[in-house]
Amino acid sequence: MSPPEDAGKPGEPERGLREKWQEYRRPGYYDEFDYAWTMTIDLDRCIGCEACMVACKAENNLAIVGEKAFAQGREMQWIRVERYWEGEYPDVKLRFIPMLCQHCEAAPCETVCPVTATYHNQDGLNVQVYNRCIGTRSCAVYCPYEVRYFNYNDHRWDSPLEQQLNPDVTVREKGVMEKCTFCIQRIRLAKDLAKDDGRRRVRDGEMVPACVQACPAEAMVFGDRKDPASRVAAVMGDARAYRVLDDLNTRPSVIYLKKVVADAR
Amino acid sequence: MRAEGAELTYADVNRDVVRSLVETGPKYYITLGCAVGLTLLCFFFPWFYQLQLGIAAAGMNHPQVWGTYEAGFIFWIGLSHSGTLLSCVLHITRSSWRKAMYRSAEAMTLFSLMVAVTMVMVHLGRPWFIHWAFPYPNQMELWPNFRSPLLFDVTAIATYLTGSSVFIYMGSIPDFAAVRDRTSGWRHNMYTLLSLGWRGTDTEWHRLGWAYTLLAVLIIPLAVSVHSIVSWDWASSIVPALHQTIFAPYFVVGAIYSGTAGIVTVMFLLRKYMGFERYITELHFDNLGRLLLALSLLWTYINVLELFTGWYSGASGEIEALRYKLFGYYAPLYWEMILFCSHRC
Repeated sequence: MSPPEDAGKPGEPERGLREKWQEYRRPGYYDEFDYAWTMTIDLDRCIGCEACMVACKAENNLAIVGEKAFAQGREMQWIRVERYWEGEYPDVKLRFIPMLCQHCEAAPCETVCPVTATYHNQDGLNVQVYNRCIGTRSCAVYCPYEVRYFNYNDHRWDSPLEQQLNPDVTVREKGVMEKCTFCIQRIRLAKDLAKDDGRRRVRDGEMVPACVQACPAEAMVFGDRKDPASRVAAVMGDARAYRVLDDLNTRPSVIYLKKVVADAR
Repeated sequence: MRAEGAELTYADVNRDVVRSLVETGPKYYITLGCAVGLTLLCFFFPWFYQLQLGIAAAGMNHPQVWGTYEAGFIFWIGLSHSGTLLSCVLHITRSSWRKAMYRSAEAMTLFSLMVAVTMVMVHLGRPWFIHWAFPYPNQMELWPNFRSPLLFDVTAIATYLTGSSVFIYMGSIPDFAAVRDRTSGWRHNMYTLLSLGWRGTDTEWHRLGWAYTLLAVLIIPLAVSVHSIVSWDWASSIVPALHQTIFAPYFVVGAIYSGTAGIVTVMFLLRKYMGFERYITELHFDNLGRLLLALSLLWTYINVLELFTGWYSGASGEIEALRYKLFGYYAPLYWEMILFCSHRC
């Protein structure tokens, strides 16, 4: 988007503030996004190996808080694999649900932040601006999925671990909130490359977040649901598709697939 | 006031009030020393430690990201609520017994509001950026989020703080003048400045009375709205047990209830240690006791209603939260509150 040209060029009528402003804010900015990044997670394929968690930690410079802080409930896991046990021993089943920021279209965290540190960007992502965050932690209270993580301390990486930090991702300081970004640095890179390639859109499968890339069971699919030919759009139409806590009307962008079996009881 | 105060003259009142301002004994310095010591020990040192270490120092974790500070915030906001509100209501209803206690009640409002603001500041992860929550023009055209209940909060509390300060100051102008006329030295200069040249003419009294009544009428709805707005921090979330429409009246009634109790406590201390037995009489305690009784009945009703709406919703999250509140780890604290605060027939 180009910034507005200076008003008062010779031969041009003086433009009002409203016109200038509208060039910044394209009409429909809040109604329609450029992309609608979506992830599907097939729970029937998930084996609970937690490779996604490790990949996320490495990609996004997640702090390793140590045993003590972990026990105190201050761990950093932008994606976590929740376990649900079904039935009684010995007839027992273990179910997994990888839980990450759902990038809700009607996100409760976005309404509550007093400084707009979390908002929806033009890609339909729920983004967190670390520099703007003042640490009220209200977004974490409002999030029904409990996927926002707060930096209770400054974190340290024991040498030589600090050398493996991803230079594309900010290292967060104490007092700010953080959460899954759908690997926004990769999305930005893919968009940049697509733009260099003659202003085309990002093609399906050109980029995936670290967790999707790492999943050995290929349970996760990532893509733009606005593209009807994309794989994620096809998977979304599956009869097994559901959204977590759908009744809250948060309209998540993460869609789970799970075969519902009739209760044996 | 009429019964016991009949033999009091205006000169007596002035003398007693000025005495309370200028006479200081060892008791005063001991109290002041304790207060300063406590502030250093319990506020500044821990706060510096927390600034160094991060919010981890406050013992919060995931998902209990709001802890003691929020409870403290609600406590102090609640305490602040009765002072100015009660003073306004009693002024409008022309209750003359108000005169002995309204100044201390309003002062309590002001100071508890300041403590509440401190609580918010301490609670932030990065308190050095607290000014970002205020809508001030800046070259980056960054504004706060006007949809946020927390921003409503900032606005409401700032308004209430301003309103309460103006109200207490305006009511104090004749008193400042009275003290001005009976003191000397730096106190005289200070009170001269504060009394804005008050001479006590009929015109001045008339105008002050009008302005005071106008402010009182404005502040009553404000006081009710402020605590309603504070409750929206919780009620507009979708957290089970917090997402309830009863929260606004619940918070307002609870605030007036605790605030009135705060006034009674302050009145007791003033009467006992400042020797104001002739001014703060049993009549005041009796009247406030009746108010406390009415408020406790209302508070009890809302408490029962809160449990009922949670249970009646039938949502699993609500039932779970209800069960945790009534029988969970912190249930003893809940039952303690019910035991000591609700009215039992």
